[in-house]
Amino acid sequence: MSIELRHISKSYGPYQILKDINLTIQTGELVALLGPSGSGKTSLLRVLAGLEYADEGLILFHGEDLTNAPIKKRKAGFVFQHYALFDTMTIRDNIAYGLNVKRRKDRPSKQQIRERVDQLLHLVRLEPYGDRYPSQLSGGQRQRVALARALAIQPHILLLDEPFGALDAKVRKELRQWLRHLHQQVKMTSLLVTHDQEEAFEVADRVIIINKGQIEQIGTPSEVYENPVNSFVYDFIGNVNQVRGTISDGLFTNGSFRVPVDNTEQADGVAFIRPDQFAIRTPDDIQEAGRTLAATVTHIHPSGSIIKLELIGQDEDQNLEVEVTRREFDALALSKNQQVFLEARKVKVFTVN
Amino acid sequence: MAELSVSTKPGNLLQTRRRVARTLTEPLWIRTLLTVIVIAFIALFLILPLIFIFAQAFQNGVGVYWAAVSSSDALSSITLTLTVLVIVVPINTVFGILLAWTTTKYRFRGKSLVVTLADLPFSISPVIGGLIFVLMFGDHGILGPWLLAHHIQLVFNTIGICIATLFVTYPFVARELIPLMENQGRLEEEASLVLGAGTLRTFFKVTLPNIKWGLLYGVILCSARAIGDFGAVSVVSGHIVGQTNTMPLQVQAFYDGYQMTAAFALSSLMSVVAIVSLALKSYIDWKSTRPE
Ligand SMILES: Nc1ncnc2c1ncn2[C@@H]1O[C@H](COP(=O)(O)OP(=O)(O)OP(=O)(O)O)[C@@H](O)[C@H]1O
Ligand SMILES: [Mg+2]
Repeated sequence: MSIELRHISKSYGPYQILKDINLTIQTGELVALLGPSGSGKTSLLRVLAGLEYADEGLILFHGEDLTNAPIKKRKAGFVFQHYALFDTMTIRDNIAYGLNVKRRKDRPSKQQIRERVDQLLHLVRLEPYGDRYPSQLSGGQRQRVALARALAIQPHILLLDEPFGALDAKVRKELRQWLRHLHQQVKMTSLLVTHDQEEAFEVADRVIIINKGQIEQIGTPSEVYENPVNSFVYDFIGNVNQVRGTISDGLFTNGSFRVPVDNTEQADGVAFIRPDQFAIRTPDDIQEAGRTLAATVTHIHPSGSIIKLELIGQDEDQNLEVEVTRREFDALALSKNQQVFLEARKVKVFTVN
Repeated sequence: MAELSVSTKPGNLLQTRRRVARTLTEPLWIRTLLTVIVIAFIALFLILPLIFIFAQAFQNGVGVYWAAVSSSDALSSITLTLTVLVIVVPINTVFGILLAWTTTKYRFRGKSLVVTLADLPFSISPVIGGLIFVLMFGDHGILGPWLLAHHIQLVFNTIGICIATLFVTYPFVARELIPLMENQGRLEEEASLVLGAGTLRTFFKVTLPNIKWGLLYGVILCSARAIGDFGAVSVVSGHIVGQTNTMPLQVQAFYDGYQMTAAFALSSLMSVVAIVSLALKSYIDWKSTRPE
């Protein structure tokens, strides 16, 4: 079941929280909606599920216009940011809820419901916990119950609102891989909200970057990572070095650091360089002087196979972060307070307004 | 407000008490003195009168007591009070749920005004509440001539007493539920809707189980007040012995007629109701703080 949103807008009083949202999710795709807090992720999901109505625009599920359809008709599975399990029901009753409330003619028999709940408990690996209450489960277990409950009604689409947001890093990682695996099995059209870019990139087929109610970029994880369309996306999806400077005559300039740009207008600019896109040079083997920044090593974090270096540029307030492989690091024999030259392999310049 | 928070989350009371015990560092004699004063106060103003009521009621033996409570006047007042109870409590339970539901689950303008107005019967004297109805529905009231012309009698009878009791007891249920439901938010309801349940089913399967103890507590308070109210009922009843005297009014009537044993016998019945509702309340407190 594909989902299509056309020109969706929504306001609360004077605040417009969704601005002209257009997107298509193909059948069976797992798409991540990534954006900072307050960017409208939950609101978009609620509009999709029918918990909130859009002021403008169209919502199509598999080509069928469901813009003003009631919640029930959309058959969307929704996993809430804070689980929203029914506290007064056992885990089994929670999972069976969506089946038990069906109209009599659509409702499976008691036996069928029991079997379906068993399957789902197995799927989320919670077989021994069926007769407990939600308050007797850990956060990660509750989250899996929420997922099983949403899947029980065999929804056409699955909407997940920061399903792992409240969990610790290790459990998150486990559940994330588990979700990826689950999606490969079930192949349900899914939209996953997160503000963790690592999560989005690891799990999703495509990523939607949203900011202040507007879509900034849509693409596969590698497209978005390799070619961020603007400075917001660049900044948001990974830690990145920012070097401020001026643009004139098609050249971005910060001291001796000069990069050609397409823009010919006079403006202030920011150059974005990822930490792994710097080569560390000694004075005698600089290849392109115009792409080189002088800096002093202030900290060395040896964490696994990648070494993170913190440096300070010639302008005292220019902090830089560089990642090198352990082999490179050993070859250079770097030490603290050493002066080095950083040659940028890949630079992206955006104008500042 | 203090009463409210205690009643909705009875567990807090215990926790607070424990915390207070730890932080109190006054010398032992001060603590003892304060405790003795409190206990003496409660004994003097609550327990002693209660004992006195029963002592007076049974002063002349069980036979006389029984004769007093089964006299036709006493019986008719008991019947009337029970009638009022059976009519008023269900209406106010439904209305209280409705009020709490709309003010906590929906957003609309003037919501806080509605919540404040709902507390009006607490801040206004019941006598004034009763007077308002007499002034509106009485023969010389604003709607009096019209009601008279249509042969509708709304004061000095059971209907009038019910209306007045409705007025003084309507906030009890809502007042219990509003903080409870506010606390719970709408998440579980939304989850239920997304899973395909309708509004009614969501209410009965999700909302109601979550609020059942608070609701029961509100119903008990509402009932206790419906049985015991004197002020508002006194104004609209007209004090017709054997017809429009509820139990509290009949106690007054017996007392004014120097039928002391009868007055105390009827009072003792009402005290029993009060004690039972207290016991029920404690049970609910205990039950609702226990984990599932
Ligand atoms: N009921 C509401 N009334 C008014 N404003 C609202 C309401 N719900 C959300 N907003 C506003 O809409 C904006 C988007 O909120 P939303 O919950 O969609 O953000 P989000 O991207 O999910 O954030 P988070 O990552 O923190 O969950 C926020 O600025 C929020 O303050
Ligand atoms: Mg959110």
